[in-house]
Amino acid sequence: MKNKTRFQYFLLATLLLATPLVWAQTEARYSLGAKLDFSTWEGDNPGGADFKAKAPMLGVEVKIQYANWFGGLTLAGGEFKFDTLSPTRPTNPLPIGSEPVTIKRSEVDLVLGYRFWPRIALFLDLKNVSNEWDTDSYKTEYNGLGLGISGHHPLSPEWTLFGNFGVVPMNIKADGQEVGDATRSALNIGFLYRINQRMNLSIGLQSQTQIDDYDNGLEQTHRVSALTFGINAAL
Amino acid sequence: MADMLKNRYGFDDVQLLENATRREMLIALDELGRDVLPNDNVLVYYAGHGFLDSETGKGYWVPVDAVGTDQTTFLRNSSIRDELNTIAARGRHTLLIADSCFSGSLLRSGTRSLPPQTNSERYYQKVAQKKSVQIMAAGGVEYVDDNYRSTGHSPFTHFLLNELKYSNQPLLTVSELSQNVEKAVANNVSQVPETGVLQGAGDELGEFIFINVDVSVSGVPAERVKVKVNVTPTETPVTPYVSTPEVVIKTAPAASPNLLPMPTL
Repeated sequence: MKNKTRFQYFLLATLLLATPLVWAQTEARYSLGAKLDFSTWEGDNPGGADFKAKAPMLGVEVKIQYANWFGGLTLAGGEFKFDTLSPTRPTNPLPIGSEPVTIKRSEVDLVLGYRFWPRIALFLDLKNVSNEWDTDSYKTEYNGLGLGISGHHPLSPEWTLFGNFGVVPMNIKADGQEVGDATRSALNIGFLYRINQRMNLSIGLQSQTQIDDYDNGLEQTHRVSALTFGINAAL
Repeated sequence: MADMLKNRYGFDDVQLLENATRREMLIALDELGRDVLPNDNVLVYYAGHGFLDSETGKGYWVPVDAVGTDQTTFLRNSSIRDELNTIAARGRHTLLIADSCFSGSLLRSGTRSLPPQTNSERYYQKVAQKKSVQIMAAGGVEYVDDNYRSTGHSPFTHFLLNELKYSNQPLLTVSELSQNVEKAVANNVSQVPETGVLQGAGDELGEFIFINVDVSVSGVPAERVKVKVNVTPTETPVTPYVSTPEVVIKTAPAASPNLLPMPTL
């Protein structure tokens, strides 16, 4: 797993270093964005018990585009309160029947993409997902480099359909120790509304499925679905 | 486009507007109408957004300062036609090239015959003498792509530039040009450019003619090769391309990829 992660970082670093050679030739365009996701996080624990919680997640993004290249950083976070059952921890399990659990969830995406066709792009997403339990600051972290495809299609001068799909193989750490691998797939689809030349609004649906395969032989499934609202503005 | 017109076709008075507001576009067209001389050939090229109100059938150009779908901030086809009428009334040949969505809503149908295979010199003389008010439109009443094969141009402008760049004809009429561009566009994308005349503007079935001044002569340095553009013997002197202002307005596409949300997984 360590070798695979190193290779993923090397691949992204190589692309990032190669990019400025092209970027030096013409003007880059920058944009800022903010989004609000009304998310539902649910899943199945190893024993079969389901867990589910809803929470808003706030996010920001900064994006740079040069010719057919684009890249940027997104940060998002929210607090999910599980009243009854919560995700089972791969190590140091909580006692059954404990108090409601709140998990702070944050996601960081470092993205680099290239538009191979005018409306179709392939992109790499260096992703980090972090879950922290409020009870004892127990933390699980998922890291991986994913590959996705994105596209958009103008429906009218104001409306544009957009979407993306991809898969991220990830490794899982619990309190700093590697405890297994996960595979995450994500699908986003939405509509963009052009307010003016420099600003767009977006509304969309997001669906993520993640299967955690722990070294101890257990398996856990996470599903995060969200209704997303966003705004993007050119700088 | 501006470079192509200046360097290859001898346009010596080119005005380039980028990211123009509605006011700037109207002022430029108004000033153009005032400046045109009787024998001038005028080409107006617009690349930008277009909008068609499906209920009323009214078409618009969408300037950079347009507000959402507020049509009062757009430039109506009727206003564009008014300005072209003024220009056409004063000049000899007027050509509007509109590269935008729904640009076909600007024109009325009207075709020219192509030059005969023989005695084409006489044909060019004939159509150069007659007044023309022509429109080439990227699409009829349809959406058009804004970044064909990542060229930064629509398919229409891409093939229009190709045709202007690689045509080996010393004289190229709009009918010849449009036929080739229409074929190339229709063969590659689901879009059909249209060519026609501006109704009621005094078109006499003349032709706007592009004269290739980028001529090389074997053994003669390029700076010593000169092309006389008003060589057509006519009863009334015609001086093609003496004053050929151009309005080029570049606006971001409807869905600028830069403003799409960042794709994440």
